Amino acid sequence: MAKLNENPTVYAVSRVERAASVDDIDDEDAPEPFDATEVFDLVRDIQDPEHPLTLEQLNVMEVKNVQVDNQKGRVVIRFTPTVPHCSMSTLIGLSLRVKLLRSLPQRFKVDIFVMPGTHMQEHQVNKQLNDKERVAAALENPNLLQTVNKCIAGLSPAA
Amino acid sequence: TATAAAAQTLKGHDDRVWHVAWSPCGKLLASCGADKSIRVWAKSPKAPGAAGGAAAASPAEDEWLCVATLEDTQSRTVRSCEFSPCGSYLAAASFDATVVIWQRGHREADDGSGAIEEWECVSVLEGHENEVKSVAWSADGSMIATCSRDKSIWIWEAPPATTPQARLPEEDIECECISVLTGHSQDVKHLRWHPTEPVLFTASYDDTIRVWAEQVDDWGCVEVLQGHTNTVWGLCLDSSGTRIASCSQDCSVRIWSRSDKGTWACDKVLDEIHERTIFSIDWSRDGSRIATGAGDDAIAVLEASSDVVGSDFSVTRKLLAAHDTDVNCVRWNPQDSHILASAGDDGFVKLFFLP
Repeated sequence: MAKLNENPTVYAVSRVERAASVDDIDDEDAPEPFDATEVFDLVRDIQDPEHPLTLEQLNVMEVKNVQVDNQKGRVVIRFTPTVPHCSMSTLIGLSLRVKLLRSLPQRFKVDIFVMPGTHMQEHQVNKQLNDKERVAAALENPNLLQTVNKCIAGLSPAA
Repeated sequence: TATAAAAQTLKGHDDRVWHVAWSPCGKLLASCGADKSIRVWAKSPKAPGAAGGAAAASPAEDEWLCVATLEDTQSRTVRSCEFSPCGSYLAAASFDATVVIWQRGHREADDGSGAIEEWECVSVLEGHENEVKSVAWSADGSMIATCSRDKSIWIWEAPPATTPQARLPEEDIECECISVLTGHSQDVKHLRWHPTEPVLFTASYDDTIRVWAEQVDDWGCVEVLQGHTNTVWGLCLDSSGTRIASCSQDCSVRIWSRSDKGTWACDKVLDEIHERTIFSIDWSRDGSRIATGAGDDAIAVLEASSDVVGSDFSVTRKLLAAHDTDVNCVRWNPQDSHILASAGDDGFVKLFFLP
């Protein structure tokens, strides 16, 4: 099957090492704080469903498009599909959601959107990705779940 | 706004609980969810506290137990379930596109140890193309309505009213489809019947509410209620059937009332109760309270500011962290407007006793 985007642009990735924060190590009651870089670290290596490359390498995910409000327990992620008619957007969005659901503390509410102006069906894609019931039903499809799990595990479904 | 005076947590489900429903007598509570099962809960017959069998000082002290687990009939999430008006049936809607009718049997144990709950699956309603999201019995018990992501609403003949002591054999139960209603442009999330008339109200992913009634030959849409700016997740009517309260992904509650001409108009938008999607809304039988359950893990209780009909509803209580995460459903006990049941993504069913 022909790929939607035969020649995606591949971007260089950065690996900035961050010193561990010592502030809250002794306070066991403090909820584990998260910031945008930590959330980005959780999702940067998710595989694109179509190409054997990560979301970071394809610039689908960038740290500047991750917003974390640690106090309120809110994460907002915006991702950029590789092409404006990308039918893989739902799959990418689901992978992001599942990875964060499994990795973030339960107190975080996650909203996922495509970057404004980057998808022809922006409203429809956004609505689907943020409808909890639609997401739950979709993930009960074993084939879809398997594809999502492969993307999250860093195994390219395209390989 | 303080947290609840008393609450009980009912554990048993292995995954998120989507829905709870009370039996008409208020003595049984059914819950269902992603573990593909339905659990039926009832008050323990044993008296709490000291020996002597004294009655509980308050309803909050009654212990609720799981008296039946209904499973192995639907292959996916059970999204919603409702008792029939006669109390002898439970209809369950599933993501596997079926609706199943369970019949309640109740008999005394041979060894005198008490009553036994026996539930038997007596009918499977097939027709929807994909996930069924909601099921509701008409007020007179003669019809069942169901709705789905396939955008349609099906109306079915309901099984005849009966009692748990006089179970009808499975062969005598046939739930024919009466009508298939189309009109919504997207998934239909939730539906409820009018408390007295054969009129149906549906809430949809297309951001609208539709009203359906039988006109001459067949069922059709009589009105479209627009106003919400995102998916309408739930709605409820007061027991007079003249007001609707709806809740939405737009984080607001809307109160609608019926004019003399029979058309509905939105009187009030309450958008400062919750900051996340409001998944469920329910009006107490006595009309005095509305409860909401939302994605901010909270349950809010709204009460009218005066006895004047049409007066404003405002929040009188907000139960923060009512569940560990999203609250999916809230239902008032039909016989006691101080008892509220809820279902959450945390896998728990909870009972709140609100003075």
